Amino acid sequence: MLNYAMKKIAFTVLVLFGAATISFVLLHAIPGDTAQALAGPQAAAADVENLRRALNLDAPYGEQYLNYMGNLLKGNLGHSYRSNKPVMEIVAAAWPATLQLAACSMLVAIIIGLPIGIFAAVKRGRIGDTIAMVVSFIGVSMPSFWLALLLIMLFSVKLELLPFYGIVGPTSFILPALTLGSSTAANIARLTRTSMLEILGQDYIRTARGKGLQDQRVIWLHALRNAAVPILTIIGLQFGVMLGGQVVTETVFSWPGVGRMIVDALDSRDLQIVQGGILILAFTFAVINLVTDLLYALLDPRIRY
Amino acid sequence: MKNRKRLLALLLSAAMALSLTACGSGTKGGQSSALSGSGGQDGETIAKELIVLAGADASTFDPHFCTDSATEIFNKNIYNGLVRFNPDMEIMPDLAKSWTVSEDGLTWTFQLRNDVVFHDGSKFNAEAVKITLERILNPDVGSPVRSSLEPIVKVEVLDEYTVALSTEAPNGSMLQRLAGPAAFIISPTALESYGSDYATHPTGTGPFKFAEWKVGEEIVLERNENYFAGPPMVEKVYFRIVPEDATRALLIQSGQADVAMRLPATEIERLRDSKNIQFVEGETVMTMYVALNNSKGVLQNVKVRQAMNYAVDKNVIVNNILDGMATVADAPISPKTWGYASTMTYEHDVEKAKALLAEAGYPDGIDLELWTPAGRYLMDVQVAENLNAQWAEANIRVKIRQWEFQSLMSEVKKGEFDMVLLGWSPSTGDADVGLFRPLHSSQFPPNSNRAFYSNPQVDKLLEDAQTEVDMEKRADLYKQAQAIIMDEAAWTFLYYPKQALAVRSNVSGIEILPTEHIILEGVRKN
Repeated sequence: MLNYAMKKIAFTVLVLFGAATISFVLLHAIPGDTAQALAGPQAAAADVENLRRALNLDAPYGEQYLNYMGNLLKGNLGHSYRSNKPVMEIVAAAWPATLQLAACSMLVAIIIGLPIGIFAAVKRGRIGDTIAMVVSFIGVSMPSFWLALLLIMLFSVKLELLPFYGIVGPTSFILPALTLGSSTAANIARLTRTSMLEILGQDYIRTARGKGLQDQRVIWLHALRNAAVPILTIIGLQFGVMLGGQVVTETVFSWPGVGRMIVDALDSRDLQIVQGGILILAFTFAVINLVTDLLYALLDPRIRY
Repeated sequence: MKNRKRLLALLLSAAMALSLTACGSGTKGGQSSALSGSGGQDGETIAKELIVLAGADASTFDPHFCTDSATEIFNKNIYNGLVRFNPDMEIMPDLAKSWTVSEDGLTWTFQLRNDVVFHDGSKFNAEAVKITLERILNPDVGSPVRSSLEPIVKVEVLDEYTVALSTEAPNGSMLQRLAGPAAFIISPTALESYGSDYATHPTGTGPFKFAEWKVGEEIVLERNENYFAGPPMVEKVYFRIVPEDATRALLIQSGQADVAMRLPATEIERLRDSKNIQFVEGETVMTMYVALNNSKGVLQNVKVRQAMNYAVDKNVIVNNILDGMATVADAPISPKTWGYASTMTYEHDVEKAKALLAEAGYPDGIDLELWTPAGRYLMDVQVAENLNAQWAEANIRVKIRQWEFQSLMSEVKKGEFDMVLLGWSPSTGDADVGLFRPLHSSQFPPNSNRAFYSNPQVDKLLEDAQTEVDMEKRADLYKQAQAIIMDEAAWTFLYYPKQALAVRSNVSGIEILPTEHIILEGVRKN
């Protein structure tokens, strides 16, 4: 296990190196000129060129890349072209907001998704199953932007119960987490149902029932545990999707997270910030993958590393 | 097995606990209710806070590197210039009490106020003006707003409170240039002590001091008790960053904020019925236009360009798409820009447009492509689609191509386009930036003449106006230039956007300038 973890960590470092390189290449390949974007559409050409020189953006890409990677090795993500703030500081401020929101959303998704999936599997083919699956279908299909506005209209404007912008307290998490968690909840429900159905048809379940165990015990202990590996996989993957896919939710709820930071920075071609944001997301995703992998072994004794 | 179970249980509960703490923690924002303390002038109470909703975050608090009007709004309340605009775009004294220009028009002498201190306690004087202006003008500093002050070749300290600026040629727009946000005066001591970190320690002389910037979240300014024009009547201003239009509207509607900036026409329309909300409205110096590529294909023909103008009913765009939040353009620059003169308009006339096309040799119409940014200007894509529909009636068949703004700017430089929807907003409020930069033939891309318009007569008029210091003569030169530009239909002239600020009814004293700057120094909150 330790060996495996070490290998995985080494692999994670490699992934981050790849992410830094690929993002650098792609960001410099997209149209749009950083110096022009920073100077604005009304700037005189001479001013744009002065700014380009002052920011060392006139250096060849190869040199810029080596500089960037050299600084990265020293743990320095550079400075924002626009504000001149250290990228580390800006990213470090946005990252917890993104991580907290993703964690809360995942909690919401599991709390809603898992029971619905189990319920649908147990009631297979009956009206309860159909209702559960229709609800989850709606959950998957509903655009998060629209769901967010509906939730705001109901809980914030009509009922005046919940805040809907920024982070002003624990209750601030409820609406964005519901928005972001709903489609994942639906995904988890559908996968749990499929996975459970497969297990519930197995011989050992029949044996467990045959020896007189209560239904609840059979479902929660015997079936769910064995159905858990694919569910855990999708939870791990969805967590990654949540990290990168929060932009819309972050925008509607004025959430100061990484997704919005990246999109804002891209608008003004503040590439240092964009790269810092991509790296922190890649890092988080890699760590979550690592944890998921290690959890497999705990859930299923047949899996050995 | 048992151990493993325990471990699993432990792990799961740890994960739960972690996400719960995650859900529970979070930074505390300020309260939105108005609490008043006493201690103001004339027994008036000073409001504890003012919450202003901004659509976009700041880019930099270093005014000499700031190029977006969204950030200029924050800076405008932290800094002062030598002179300033009033809401009618007239030049008013600010840090300078008075000024004179030498007879040859080459030297401007400013008498400065002697009662001003910077936020860091250092004294404002002629030396501060010199250091500030020389910083902007030094090409190595790389200021993107350098060219707006470029005519200045020398800054001389005559005595502690007198400073002289020299130019090589007379310059008719010197005061306008100095009133713009590029020429805000910064504290030399702060610049020296913070060096390259100055942008995060902005130190000006304005009514509010910079307190805190949480990137993506909020900008906090606090009252400058030593403000030379009298300290403002609010302790703290919280600029909250709320990018979604609908969210800003809901927040001001529900009373969780005092002011909301940059609302689109649809939200304004909806909020007009709220009795607790009033609007501070005004015109802007901005012109929206379609840059017709004067150097390419059928658009080289002046008759075709005129047809492009006759074929569009701008009132339809203004009323139906912008809900009246604009006025139809009747010149290349707006009435709020100094030097504006309306000489002619293109009234909607589809038959005339068709006839002009036929005269130009295109009786069956023409095919063109219109490029538009998506989301840069209010309703830009909808405006482009409406133009498309209107042009179609005159047999001008147009294909629309949507762009992300920065990509569009890069691509336009190459000159391979037919038409592009753009806005132009002279931050100096003067015809020099309003006309010379987007229409003089020396300003082809990578500069701002994106229509590749070239007329030697217009060039000469714009050059002469630059060095003319007699304002009447200068205005006349600009009038002549605008007459030719309109007649030659360099662009399809569209509209001048208006601005509106939603303000709770217990708040008063906020001024908006046509440069889209918001002045909070006189704000009152009951």
